Amino acid sequence: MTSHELTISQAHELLARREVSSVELTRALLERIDAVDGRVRAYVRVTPELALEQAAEADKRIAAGDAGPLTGIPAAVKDNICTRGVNTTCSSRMLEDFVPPYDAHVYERLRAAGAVMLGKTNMDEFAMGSSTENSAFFSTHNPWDIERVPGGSSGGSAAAVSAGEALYALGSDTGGSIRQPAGFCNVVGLKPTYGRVSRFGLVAFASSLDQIGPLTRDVRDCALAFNAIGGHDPRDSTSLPDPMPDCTQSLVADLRGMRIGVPREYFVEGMETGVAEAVRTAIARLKELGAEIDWDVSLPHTRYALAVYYIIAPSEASANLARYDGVKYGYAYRQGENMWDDMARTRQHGFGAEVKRRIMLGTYALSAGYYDAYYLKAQKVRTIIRRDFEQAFSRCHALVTPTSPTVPFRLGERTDDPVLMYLSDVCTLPINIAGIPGLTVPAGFSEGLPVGMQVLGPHFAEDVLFRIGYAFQQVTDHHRRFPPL
Amino acid sequence: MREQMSHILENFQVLQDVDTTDVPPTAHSLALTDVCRDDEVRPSLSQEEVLLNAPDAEDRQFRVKAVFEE
Repeated sequence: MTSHELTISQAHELLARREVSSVELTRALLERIDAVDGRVRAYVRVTPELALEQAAEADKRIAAGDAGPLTGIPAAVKDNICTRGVNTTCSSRMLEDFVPPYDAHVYERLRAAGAVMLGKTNMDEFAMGSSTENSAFFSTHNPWDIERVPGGSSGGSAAAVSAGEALYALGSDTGGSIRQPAGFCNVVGLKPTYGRVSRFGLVAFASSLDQIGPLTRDVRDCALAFNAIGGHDPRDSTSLPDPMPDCTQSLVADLRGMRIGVPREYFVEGMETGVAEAVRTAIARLKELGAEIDWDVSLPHTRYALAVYYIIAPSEASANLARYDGVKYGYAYRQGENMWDDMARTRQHGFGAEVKRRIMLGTYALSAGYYDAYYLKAQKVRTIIRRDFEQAFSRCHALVTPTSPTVPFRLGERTDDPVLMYLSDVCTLPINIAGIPGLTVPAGFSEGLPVGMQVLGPHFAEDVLFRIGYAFQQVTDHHRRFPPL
Repeated sequence: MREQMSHILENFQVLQDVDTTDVPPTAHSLALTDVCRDDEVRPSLSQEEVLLNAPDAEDRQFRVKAVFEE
């Protein structure tokens, strides 16, 4: 096995046995990036000097016997997570030259764990999109088929892990932005319970929905990375004070005593048969592992989730993005007639089409006269969707669904039709609305392209999701397949 | 863009089918309320660091064109 195909756990073993140093491992990954990123384009910025510096520090810690599971392991970080001294662009012209003066909480945690950052990954501008085609810089390509999208908005992070350009990555998920690309690229991705991971230093998109999470090669790695980034942070007022369990304790290889539901609304019309088949086959494996499968679960208000999401998320975004005024940081237009003109033109030139579309939708939904019909109505239906899940979890420990209704689509295929693009998140966005955790694991292939299975649990039940995903990976090898690059 | 926006807004109409009588709105999915901390002086970024990304700064302040007309 070559070093770029290692899991975190395997690399940790090699480092602990001194069979490889972190500097050597980091060099190997940087070479891999050189070799394939011209085709994949996962990174907005590679930071080789910083990476080698952090690797040298990690080697000292390893030599001193002070190594944790992530020490010396090379990772990628989505470019909406603030990294002190390293540009954090959100793949937007607006922040192209922005250099954060502080670290995001999660990056602080990774640094404390001795991690090595290889660079910052491409994304849909301000995390608004499902294909990474909304990046203001360039599109990322799916390593499984270079003509297809990697999903989004964390498409760069998913493609980097899939293509062997990082051993794991951090992403963010507002409506599926970790899980959908992870599913498209055949890697594991976790959207934690809302409030589990501090959003301090995450550039805000929709604050009641955003959550940071890991993208990894297997479920054990996902638990390790989640252990490192989760837990209370007083700098985020929505951060949960509850103590974090050690999630590796939940990695048990059987599912006896578990009741897993399959919500019928998620095998929707328009779902590809190859996707539905792969997920049904995966569910049969869960049954063989001892789980009781409940095929009679219903989340009756699922069909309203898309409208709820596309009112709430743009409304919050329109408020959050008002900060980009060309005064404090970011791109600034200065040839206007006066200050107000400068501000308007800063936004006109600094934001891309999808970001503008969502700001307009949000301001419209929040405006006087429409507030009750749109925003308030959406918040009420949000309550009903949340109750659907509570009902389902009163009879099941977890739910399984497809992660996406289709396999990765072709670049350019959906860029002209926003509603069709929004539909690619139809299986993932109800989860953010309810604030519950969701894990995607590679479930198989359709037409040679990856299919993801999404596992859902009640608030704080990440351990249940890890157990199901881990058991599944003990009897399957989809996650050990690598794209032909 | 105008046509796309109308299409998106049409899709929002489905919500009118849902009976939300007596349903409270959800702003956040978790019931955290009144999260407070003590008002203590703590270390923070220096003015230099804060102004590092400013498109235009002068005298430790952000500089913009005149706000008020003469």
